[in-house]
Parts: sequence; C-alpha cells; structure tokens
Amino acid sequence: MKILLIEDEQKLADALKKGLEAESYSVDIVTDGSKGLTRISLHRTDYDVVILDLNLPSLSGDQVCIQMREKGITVPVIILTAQADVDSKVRLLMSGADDYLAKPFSFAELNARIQALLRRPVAVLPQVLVSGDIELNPSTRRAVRAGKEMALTLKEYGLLEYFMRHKNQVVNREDLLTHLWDFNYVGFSNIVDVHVKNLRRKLDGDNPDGVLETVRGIGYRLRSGVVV
Amino acid sequence: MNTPEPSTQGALPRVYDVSLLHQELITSMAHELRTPIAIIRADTEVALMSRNISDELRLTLGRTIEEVDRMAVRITALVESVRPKA
Repeated sequence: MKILLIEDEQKLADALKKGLEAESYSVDIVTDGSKGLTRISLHRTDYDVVILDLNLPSLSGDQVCIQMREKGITVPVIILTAQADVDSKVRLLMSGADDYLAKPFSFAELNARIQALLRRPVAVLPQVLVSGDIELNPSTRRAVRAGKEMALTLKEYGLLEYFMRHKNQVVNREDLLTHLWDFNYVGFSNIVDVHVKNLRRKLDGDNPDGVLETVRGIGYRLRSGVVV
Repeated sequence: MNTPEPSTQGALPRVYDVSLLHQELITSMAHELRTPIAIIRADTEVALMSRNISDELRLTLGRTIEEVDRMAVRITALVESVRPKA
C-alpha cells in the first residue's frame, strides 16, 4: 500500500516514513501544500491513503483536503493536527478528511486508522450533492437551486438531503419517517406529505411538473434531469 | 448615582484583554509544543522497532515514550484550563 505523506516538518516526516515502511507501507514525502495537491491530482490512482499535516507552506492542510474533494479525488485522508479541540476536529472532518490524529500519536494507532480506512469501499460521496440545477452542501447546510439559495426549514432540508442522496429512486413515506423523524415519533404519516408539499412549493413554486414527482401509492422520486 | 473612580474606569475590559491574551498564548504554545513532542515520540518508536538494541536501551526508550505521553496529557489539560467555559 502506498501512502502520500504531506508534512513540512522534515524530522517528523522522516520518522513517519521509517515507521510506516517498517509496517510494509511505501511512503512518498512532499513538504509543501500546493506541491502535495499537485502530486495527488496527477497521481491519484497511485496512492491508497494521504496523510496530511495542517500547517503547511503555500497551502494549508484543510485547503488541500477541500480542493482534493472538489477535484473528485476520493483517496482517504488522515489529518495530523496539533489542534485537539472539538471544533477543529469537526471542521477537519467537514472539510472532507476521513480521519484525524492529534499530535503526538503512536504508530500503532496510526497504522490501525490506516487499516480501518483501507477496509472501506473505494468510492465516497462527494462533499456537495448535486441533482440537476439543485446543489446541497451538507457542511454549510445550504441548498441552492439555479444559483438561488432556498430558505428551507430543518425538516425540509432533511427531506431534500435524503432525496438527493437517493435521486431518481422511489422513496416511500415509511423510509422518510424512519430516517427523518425520531424513533419515538408518534403521529400520522401524512406529516411527511405536509412537509414534502412545502418543500415542493419552495423547489418548483406552482409548477405541477416539477423536480419532485409523486409516485402514487408509494412515495416520491427526485428527478435529476429536471431544471428550472 | 455613584460613578466609579477614574482609576477603575475601563479596568474590566483591560482584565478581559489580558485574560484573552493569556489564553491565546497558552493555546499557541501548546500547539507549538505538540509537533516536537510528536517528533520525539515517532523517533523513539522507530528506534524501538530495531531488533539490535540492548534491553537497557529498550527500557529507556519505553520510558521516554511514557514521559512524552505524560507531557501530551499535561498540555491538553493546560489548554482545557484556559478554554472559556460554555
């Protein structure tokens, strides 16, 4: 397995390379953020994992990660960070990182995390969900249609995200109730219809042939080919 | 209505500024220390991977890792101690 290590502290990079090679990984070191991004962009299929430091010259680690994901590079990323607080960890994971390790760390833990990532299926979902002219960014919780931001309630946002993760599939009301309402919810299933109706109005106005199709007796389908 | 003495006016913002500076300094120093500590730990672990070291050296390197981990715990505690409480 081949690892791209993007780390500007040469001593740490050398120690990591030695330790990882002892675990039978092959390791390439790049000491600069921009150069690291270029390397992974040009050789995306060569690497199985990227280990990324945060404070890098020319381009920070989180920007490298964000731009990798924007370019559709799905190689798993582990970020090494000196910032161990919750906010930083959340920000890193939302930037597209798959995992993080706070410095200092043990090789045993690093190795275990690399192995855990290698067990995952190769493809990952893109950071921004796109269906036709609708874009939804789960990290910023913004939904945009034809370039115009939509003001959605929490439930409408949840419904749209679920539909976009299952675009062109028929989604039944029970699925929506299971995934978007809590286990203890006791109510009528037409609550789903009410929220879908509101979402549909925000998506398509009064257009009866909009993006959100009702599949009679079953549920709904988000059609990806329909644009405003 | 009593007005504060001139010497105490603006004292609270100044105390707040100093406290914020103190917090930033501690957090920044803690972050700066984590990388050298990570280097010491990684180098020590790599040295421990070698089969050609004496038992005595192995023991010393093991103790180095224990102490490095203790330092890391203290650093985390230090950062937590100056973090504003929610």
